Amino acid sequence: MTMDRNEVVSGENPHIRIQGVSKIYASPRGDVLALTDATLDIQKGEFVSLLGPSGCGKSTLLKMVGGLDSVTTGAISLAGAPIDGPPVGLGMVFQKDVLLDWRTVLQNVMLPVELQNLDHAEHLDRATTLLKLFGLGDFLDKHPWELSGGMRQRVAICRALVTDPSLLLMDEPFGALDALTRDELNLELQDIWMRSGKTIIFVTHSISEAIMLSDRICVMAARPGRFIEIIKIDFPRPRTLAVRETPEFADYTRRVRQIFESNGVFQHEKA
Amino acid sequence: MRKLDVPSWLREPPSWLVLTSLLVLWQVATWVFKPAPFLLPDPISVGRALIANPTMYLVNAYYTTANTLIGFGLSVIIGFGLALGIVYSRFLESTVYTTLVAINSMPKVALAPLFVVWMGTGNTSKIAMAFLIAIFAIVIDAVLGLRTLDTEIVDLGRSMRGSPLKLLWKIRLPNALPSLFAGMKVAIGLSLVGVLVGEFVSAQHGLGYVIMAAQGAFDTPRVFVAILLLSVLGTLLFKSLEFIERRVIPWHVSQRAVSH
Ligand SMILES: Nc1ncnc2c1ncn2[C@@H]1O[C@H](COP(=O)(O)OP(=O)(O)O)[C@@H](O)[C@H]1O
Ligand SMILES: [Mg+2]
Repeated sequence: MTMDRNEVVSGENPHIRIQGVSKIYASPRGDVLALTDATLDIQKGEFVSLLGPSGCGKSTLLKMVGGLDSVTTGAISLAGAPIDGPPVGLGMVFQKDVLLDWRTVLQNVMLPVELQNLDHAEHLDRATTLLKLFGLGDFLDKHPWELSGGMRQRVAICRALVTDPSLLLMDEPFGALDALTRDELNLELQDIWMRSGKTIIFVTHSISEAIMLSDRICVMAARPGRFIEIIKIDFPRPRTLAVRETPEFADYTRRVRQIFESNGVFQHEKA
Repeated sequence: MRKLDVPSWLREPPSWLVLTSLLVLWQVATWVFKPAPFLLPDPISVGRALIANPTMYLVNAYYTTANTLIGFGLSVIIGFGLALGIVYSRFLESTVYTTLVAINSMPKVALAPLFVVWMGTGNTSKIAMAFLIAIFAIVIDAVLGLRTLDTEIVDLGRSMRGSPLKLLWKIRLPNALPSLFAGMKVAIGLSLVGVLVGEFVSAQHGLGYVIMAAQGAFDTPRVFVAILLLSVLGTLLFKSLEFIERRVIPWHVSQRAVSH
C-alpha cells in the first residue's frame, strides 16, 4: 500500500531511496515504534520537507538518512549505496544549535573543516563570507553565549554550509526563531539552495514554511510515526514572501490541514 | 522604610580587615584571660617565633610545597590518563574504575604508616600519600567531564566525520576541562593533607615535621607558626589553580562573570 505514494516521483535513479523504513527504540518502558514503513525517493537537488506534529518520527528519519542511527527494518541508500554512517558531503543542522562554548563564532563554523582536514585558508574565506551573508560579520570573534538565539542558529547553519555539502539535513532549524527572522532565513535558504543545487531534507512543523520552501512535502502523523501523503508544490522559483498570499497557497494550506484533520492531528479542535 | 546608611566597608568588610580584627581579638583575649603560653600563645609571640628563625620555616615549607606539587602533578597526569582509559574502554571501566571507587571509600590516611614502611622516611612516602589521596578526585571528576557530552554534540561530531582522536581533542577534551578543574581544586588541598600526614608519621623536614618536633618540646608558638604557614600555603595553591583556570577556560559559565 505504500508503493503508490511515490507516483509523483519521476526520474530513474533517485539520489536518496528510503524503502519501507521502520524504527523501533527499545526503552525500559517498552518498545517505541518511532517510525513505520516509510518509503520515499528523493531526486538530486530536490528540496523535500518532512512536516508533522512532534513525535511523528521526523528527527528519527533525518538521523537515519544522515547515518547517525540505524534502521530497524527497511533500507536507505544514497547515490545507490546503502547508508553506513554519515556520508561524505553531509551537512546537518540540529534542533538545538549545539555551538561549542569554547570556540568563537568563526571557530565554530570552522569546526567541520578542522575535523575533516580540509584546506584551512580557503574555507576560512568561505566561512567569513557565509557569516557576513547571514548578518554576523561583526560577530566573528564573539563567543556563542554572547549571541541571541536567532544568531546562534544562523551560526549553526553557516557551520553546516561551510564545507559546501551536497546533502543538507535540517531539523527544525528555524523552530526557535521569531517570525520575521524566520521569513528572512527562509528566503536566504532558498537562495543558497538555488545557487548550489544541494539536496535538502528539511524538517518543520510549520505548514506555511513547508509550502514556501519545498518541491515536495511529506506529511506525517504520530503514534505510530508514519507518512500519510506526499504533496508536490508547484510554485515557480524563486518564491517570494508574497506567494503566501496567493489563492494557490491557501489551497495547499487547506489541503495539508485537511490531511492532518482526517488523521486526528488536530483532535482538540473538533471537540 | 529606608535602609540605614551603613558604609560599604562595614556592610561587606574586606578579608584583610576581617583577618586583622581576628588577630587583634586573639591578642586581646590572651591579655584578658592569660592562658598558659603552651596552651594558647598570643599572636605577638607567634610572630616572634617566626622572626627568630625564618630560614628554618622557609626550608621546611619548601619541602612540604615541593612534595605536594609533585604528588598533585602525578595525580593529575596519571589520573587523567586513567580517566581517558576508563571512558574509552569497557574493560578498564569494570576493573580499574570499580577498584578505585571501592578504595576511595576507605580513609586513605590510614595507609600513611604503611607507606613509610614501604618507601622509607624520605620524600617518596610523602609524595605517594599526596598522590594517593588526590587521584580519586581527579579520576572521578575527569571521568564525569569526559562522559557528560550532549547526545546532540556527539551526533554533530559524527555527522562531520571526525576521527575519534580529533573528536577527543576538539570536542570531548575541552568539554571536560571545567569538570577537571573542579577535581583539581579539590585535589590540591587533599595533596597538602596527604604530605602533612606523611610528615606526621615520620620525616626529617617539612611543616608537619616542624609541628611534631615543636609539640614534643611544648613549643606551641612554633606549632602555630607552622599551622599559619600551612593555611597560607593552602590558600596560595588554591588561588594559583583558580588563576590558571581563568586563563584556560575563560569561556566557561563559572568564569564569565570574572572575565567580562
Ligand atoms: N533515543 C530514543 N529512545 C527512545 N525513544 C525515542 C528516541 N528518540 C525518539 N524516540 C521516540 O520516537 C518518537 C519519534 O521521535 P522523533 O523522531 O524525535 O519525533 P519528531 O522529531 O517528529 O518530534 C517519539 O515518540 C519519541 O519519544
Ligand atoms: Mg524532532
